[in-house]
Amino acid sequence: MAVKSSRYWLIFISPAMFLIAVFLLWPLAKTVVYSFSEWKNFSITYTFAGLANYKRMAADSVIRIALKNSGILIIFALIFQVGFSLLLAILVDSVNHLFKFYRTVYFFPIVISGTAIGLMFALAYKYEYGLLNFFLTLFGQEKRVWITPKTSIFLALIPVVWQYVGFYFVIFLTGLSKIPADVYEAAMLDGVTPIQKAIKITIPMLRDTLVSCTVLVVSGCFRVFDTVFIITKGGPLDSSQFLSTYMYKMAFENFNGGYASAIAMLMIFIGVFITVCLRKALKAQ
Amino acid sequence: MKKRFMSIAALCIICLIAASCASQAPAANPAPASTENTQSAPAPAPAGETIRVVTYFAGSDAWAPVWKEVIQEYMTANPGIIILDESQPTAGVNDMLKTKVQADLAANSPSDLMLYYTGDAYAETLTAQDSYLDFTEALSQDPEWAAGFKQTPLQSVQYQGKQYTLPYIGFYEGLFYNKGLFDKLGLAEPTSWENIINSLDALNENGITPLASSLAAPYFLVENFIMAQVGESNHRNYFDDSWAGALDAIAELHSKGAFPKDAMTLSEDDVRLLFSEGKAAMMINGSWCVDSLQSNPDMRIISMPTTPGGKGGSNSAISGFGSGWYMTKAAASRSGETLKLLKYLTSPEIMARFIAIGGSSAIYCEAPDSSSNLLKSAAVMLNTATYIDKTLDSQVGHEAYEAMNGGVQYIVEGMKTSKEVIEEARSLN
Amino acid sequence: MAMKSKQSRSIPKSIATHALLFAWAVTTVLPLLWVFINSFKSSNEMLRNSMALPTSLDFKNYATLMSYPDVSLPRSFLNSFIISGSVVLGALLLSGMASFALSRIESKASKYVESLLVACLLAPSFATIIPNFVTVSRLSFMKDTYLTAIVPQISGNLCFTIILLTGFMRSIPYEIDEAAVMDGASAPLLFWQIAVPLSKPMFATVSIMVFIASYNDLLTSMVYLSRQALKPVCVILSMVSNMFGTDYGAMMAAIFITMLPLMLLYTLAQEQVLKGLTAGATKG
Repeated sequence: MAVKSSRYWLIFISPAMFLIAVFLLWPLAKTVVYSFSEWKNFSITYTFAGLANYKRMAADSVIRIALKNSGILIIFALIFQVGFSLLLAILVDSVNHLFKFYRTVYFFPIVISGTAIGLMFALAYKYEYGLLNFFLTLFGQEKRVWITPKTSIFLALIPVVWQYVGFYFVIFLTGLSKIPADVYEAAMLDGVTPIQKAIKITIPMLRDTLVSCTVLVVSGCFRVFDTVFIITKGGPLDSSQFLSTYMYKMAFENFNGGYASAIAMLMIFIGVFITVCLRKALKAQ
Repeated sequence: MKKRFMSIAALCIICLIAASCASQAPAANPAPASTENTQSAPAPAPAGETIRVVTYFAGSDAWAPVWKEVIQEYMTANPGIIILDESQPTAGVNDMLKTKVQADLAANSPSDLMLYYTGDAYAETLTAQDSYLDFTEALSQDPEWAAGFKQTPLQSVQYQGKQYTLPYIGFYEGLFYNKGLFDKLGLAEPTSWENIINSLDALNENGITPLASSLAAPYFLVENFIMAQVGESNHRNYFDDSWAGALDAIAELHSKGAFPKDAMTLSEDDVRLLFSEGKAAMMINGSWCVDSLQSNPDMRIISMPTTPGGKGGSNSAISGFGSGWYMTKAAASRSGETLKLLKYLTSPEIMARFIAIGGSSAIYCEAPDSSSNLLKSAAVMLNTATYIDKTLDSQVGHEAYEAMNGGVQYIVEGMKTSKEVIEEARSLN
Repeated sequence: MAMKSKQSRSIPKSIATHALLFAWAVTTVLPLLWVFINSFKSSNEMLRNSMALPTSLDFKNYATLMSYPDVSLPRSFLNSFIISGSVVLGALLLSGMASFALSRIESKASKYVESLLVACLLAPSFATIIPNFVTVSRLSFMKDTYLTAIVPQISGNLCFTIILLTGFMRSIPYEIDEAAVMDGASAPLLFWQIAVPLSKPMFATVSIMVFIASYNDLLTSMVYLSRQALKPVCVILSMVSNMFGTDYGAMMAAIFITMLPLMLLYTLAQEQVLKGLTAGATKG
């Protein structure tokens, strides 16, 4: 790097860090304290409880389901939100026609609130009056219950993954725009195929964008909430519970802020761990 | 192209300037929303005051239009008084009212007057800071006002013998059924457990769901089955072993196909739709459904009949005042204006205007015409019951309550026993 | 752009590409149509069959939204644009500066700051909302102004904008900086004349996303802004539900009218993305 001035580093970073410290780090520090306390009903008082919340978490079978579900979601999200969005971005970048059209409509799902999307899928999965069962009866089949303990996680993650493909698509498209045209022109003279071009030129040049998107995708998986909550409420039998939905349940239905804070700590810890590992792996390549 | 960027940037800057200007305006004038009234009114009284009020009368809430009218009228009649309406909608997932009240409490700036949930679990949180007024003295100083309140509701919302809350609009719960469907199939009305069990097969064969209910949120179901099981004897004996029978009764109904096939994930709105469309014969729900159902003359409501080995049934009912008025001590010591407003809101005339929309009244006032079959059956239900108690969620801890309701799915799937669930809930209470 | 895409490709391949792209486009357009169609139905009609066309073109749901006693729609739209516009400006400025420091000024602390940002990104809103409300209500100069919503929203968006912008700025060749430093340029000059202009496409993309996030941020607006006259338009989404149920027809109408300005804005602003990127490509 050309500049090595720690004075300028501080000057440039401190306004943002000041706000982050006041509005994110301070509440986060409180969360750490609450996770070691018995704190209920959002009361102004709380008492120190040692590791009680963490012990409860270790014995809680729902936490294990939630961890497994979060893992499944991360895998699917990485495949679709990173892999598939990148494919879409490369393809759209290469077409001569309808470029603007694709770029516009792919973004639409993000504009719709998670509540509406959750509701739409919930209405599709319903037993009575549901869209899927409507088609089944159209083809002379028996209606069936779609959301079962086995299927719930997959049915819940379809809309979650689908909604944000457009988001990362736009970011990748922005990243692609920066690749100078002459790099491609030089490659074209050498006669490389489009696939070779993507692997040898595009992806390496997008690496920094890829890393930041991966971080966002993983953290997004931990924050997923409203869509899942509306479709399955985490059920049946807690089979589609994520750390986020379970934490919400503990905080706003059970009013056990201490336990919810401990779950939040687990979420942050795992999230940071995974992103740091991914970042290292991607950079090492 | 560059021009467009500049124009977007310019637009943003204008927004920012507007933000800072607009942000000055309200500071200069305490309430821009209500200036029209105060300006057209005659010279303000010397005791000008802004009263902050929070209720759930917001948005699509049925009482919201009446509420707006009432406070506008009050402000017109009392120049100098500005009612700052901070009402928030309250609805399941997005309960903004709770979040708002909690946040205000945490910041130590609660609204002067608040219509909020009653019950020990809430009162405990609210009174922790000792910022709310005990109305006992105010009531004794104004016997005429005090006499307006019905005694039962007034006592039912007390917390540790203190009157932090004044009851307002009440509700009841029970087993709704569609008499027409039972008559059509020649089935006995579901007035006993046997009748319910005997009707299940016939209803299912005719493509009718016997009992519309969601096991994803089985609150009303569990509540009413517990009352039917334990009645007066153990309803206040929270999470007693006798409660397990109620959960077993639910499991029995489930195994006999009484619930919708997708009961595990069904939403409350779908439950109501199934019943109101005649696709389900019974539903356990509350008085808030009455308004949309009473135009159908086949609709009835009764207390959930006695479950096997139970002590409740038609002798008991669930009814109460789930919300009431709270007033801060700060507002009381500032002036008499907030109390004056509260007395106005709890006067028989105003109460009658709210009750005309729905609910039952905590204050003696002119009751609306109850001519529909459904409302008549509700009156019978409440008059027959010798023991009436409010819902459990206002009595027990949130966590225990959720553990019991969440356990129902595990019980009907045979993954936990009812005893285990009740024990787990008890340990959390 | 045109130069890049002028690659000769066989017609079958091109058809296959368009078939895939078009199929995905269908999945993204249908939900919008679905919301639009259902905004003309009653709640029960929608629950019964949400895929059918409405029986009549009934604007009742839109009238219902206008009838809520505590919401004035024009005022709410104005509030939304004031709040979200300010949030975008604030977030871009602060995160642009921070990203410049993280990506283009050498410091050992940078990597720790980045991990911290990820941790903050994972901070759940339930954990931050009440402590932040207490903080905001202590800052008396912000009382009853738009700032009570603007400042926490800027902070909430900073982590995500910094992560994206830092990633983008890193991929600008460092040789440009080195050449400029040789000519005697200082850090502020590098920021303003190299990093910002060359990152314009990402600034544009990020501002759209921040705008949308802020525009749809129901929780912050409801809790921080107690005065109805200051509330943004997304609050009507909460108004369609009350303690006794949800009016789904009105909800669809609310979703549709709150969504419209966002779609317009995106369509307009993406031109800016396009323009920024061609500029970036030629200069780079």
